[in-house]
Amino acid sequence: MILKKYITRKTESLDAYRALGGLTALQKAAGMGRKNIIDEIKKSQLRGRAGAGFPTGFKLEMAEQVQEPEKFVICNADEGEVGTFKDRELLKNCPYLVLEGMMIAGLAVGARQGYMYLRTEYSYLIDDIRRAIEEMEEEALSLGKCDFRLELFVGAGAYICGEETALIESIEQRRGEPRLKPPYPTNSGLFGKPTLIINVETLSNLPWIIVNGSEAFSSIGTEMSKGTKLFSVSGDVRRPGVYELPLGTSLRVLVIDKACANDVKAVQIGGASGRIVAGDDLERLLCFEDVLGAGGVVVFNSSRNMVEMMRENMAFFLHESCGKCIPCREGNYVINRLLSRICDGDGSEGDVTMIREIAASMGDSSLCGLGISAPTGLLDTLQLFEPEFREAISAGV
Amino acid sequence: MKIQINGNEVEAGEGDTILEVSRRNGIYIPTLCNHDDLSPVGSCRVCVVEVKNNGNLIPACSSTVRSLMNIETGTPRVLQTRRTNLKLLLANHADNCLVCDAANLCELRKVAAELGITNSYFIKSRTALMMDQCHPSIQRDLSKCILCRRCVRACREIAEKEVWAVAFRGHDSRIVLRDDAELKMEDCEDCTVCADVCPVGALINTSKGRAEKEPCLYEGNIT
Repeated sequence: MILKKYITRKTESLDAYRALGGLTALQKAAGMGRKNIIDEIKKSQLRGRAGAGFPTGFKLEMAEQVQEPEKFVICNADEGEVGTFKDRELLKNCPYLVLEGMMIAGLAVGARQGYMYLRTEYSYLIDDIRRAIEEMEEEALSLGKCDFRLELFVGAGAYICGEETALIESIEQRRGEPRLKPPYPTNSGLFGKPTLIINVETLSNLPWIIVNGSEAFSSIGTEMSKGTKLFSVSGDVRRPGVYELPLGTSLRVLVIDKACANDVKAVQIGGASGRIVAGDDLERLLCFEDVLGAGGVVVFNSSRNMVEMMRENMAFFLHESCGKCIPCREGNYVINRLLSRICDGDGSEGDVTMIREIAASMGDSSLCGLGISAPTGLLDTLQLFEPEFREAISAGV
Repeated sequence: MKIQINGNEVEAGEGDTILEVSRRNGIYIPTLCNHDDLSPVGSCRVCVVEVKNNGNLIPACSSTVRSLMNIETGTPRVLQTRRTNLKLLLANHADNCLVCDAANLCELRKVAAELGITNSYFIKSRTALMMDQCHPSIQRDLSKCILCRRCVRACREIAEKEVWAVAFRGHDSRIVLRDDAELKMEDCEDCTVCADVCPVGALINTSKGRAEKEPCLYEGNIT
């Protein structure tokens, strides 16, 4: 396991972190040179842990290749996805690990300035993180080759600011809305400079890869998904919490064996924007090839009505849509009205047809990932739990 | 560079948008938030096109061409998405075309007619919003606003001022002045560039008679 030792116990100080083997990666990376670091990470086949699964090595390479003296590394700690709290455990128990990952990423692309974008709900971690930043900056300076400045930026509570370009807008003190892509942040991001935006968990994997080598990392997992992943399990389980498992582990191991669920009707994987898997389909594999998302796993037992759950689910997106593009702004509103109507027993078959039409358009033409992935769970539920919808249409919930 | 649009090979320059190349070649793509004099914002998703091997649809107004790109502008998937998006927009638009000053100048109606939409069957979501007639030459009716942000961009890019801004989130988004007040002479004098670019009747230049404006509806380019 790669991250388990960092999340099970709180690392109180930099010395304690050093005792866990911390900072050896930074020292090693400082002597490796940009190209070797990037090659090592590319060979490890590490992919982004925030859901999209973009190969981290390629992202580093793209930012490295841009000729520009000033570059930025941003750690995306705006963990807003519903039911996801794996990054919180890392930030709370061992911010040093995340910061070391940022510094390694900075060395790889030639950036001297890093930002950590922390969601405002995690404000109680500010003091700890600030202290860790001070210690790490000093430590990095004493290493000689790594002059890296870090800054903590606290968001204002918008889910959309977890989207990388909206996050940049937010740091630039503007309305948190996604930008048009291209240009991608690796070419023109924060203040128009090449910017690397990486998730907390992805960054936390970098030190391990540098120390143990890419082969050790890519020996874990499946063909397309290497390494391990943190999963945060909540909902109708007896042991909710964060579990680390190799990618490619079956859902049954996580939900039944680890989290001790005894009645599973459905599981939502990847938060509110994630796929829904039926309770009799627990042999599905947790990896990029099958289902994954950002690692938030919510279990529903048989007392839950799925139509009602979906109404709650879509209400979240109605609240969090930024309002920039039509499919997401208007689509979420109309879908919410239709679902309320169905839950109240005033629905009709035509409402389901309308939901499908709007969901198709949202998924195909929204500006950013929020609108594209918002109807995912709803469409899965429509397919898996159609009888419940029919029942709700005739009698309400 | 060479690209393909609807199966025909056409020539395109570096940095051209899909929309520009299509127009040059006589291929019509409806647009709403896009305006030739303003930077693209890509918010209306009415100009989406399909690019082979690209996954989701992309907006033609703001996507630049790449060599050997294979673009389809009229597949059922594209047309259906455009229609759905426009119907969603119409569901959130005041239904008073008969008494609207912009009636026959309305670009929303024009695009709706082109896409063959007479009425949105989605649940009507528009609530009556403020009608602002404080300014001598700009009349503002937010219930007609489609949030294309042309006014925000025109004010910033042409008039080089920051009178308008987007406020609130999601479905509650609105174009406002700094403190969500009414527009007065102190805020802005008479450039009216925002009203001139408004595609609908949300901002009307009351100092200009209707006759001075070119009607955009029934121009003959409706397919």
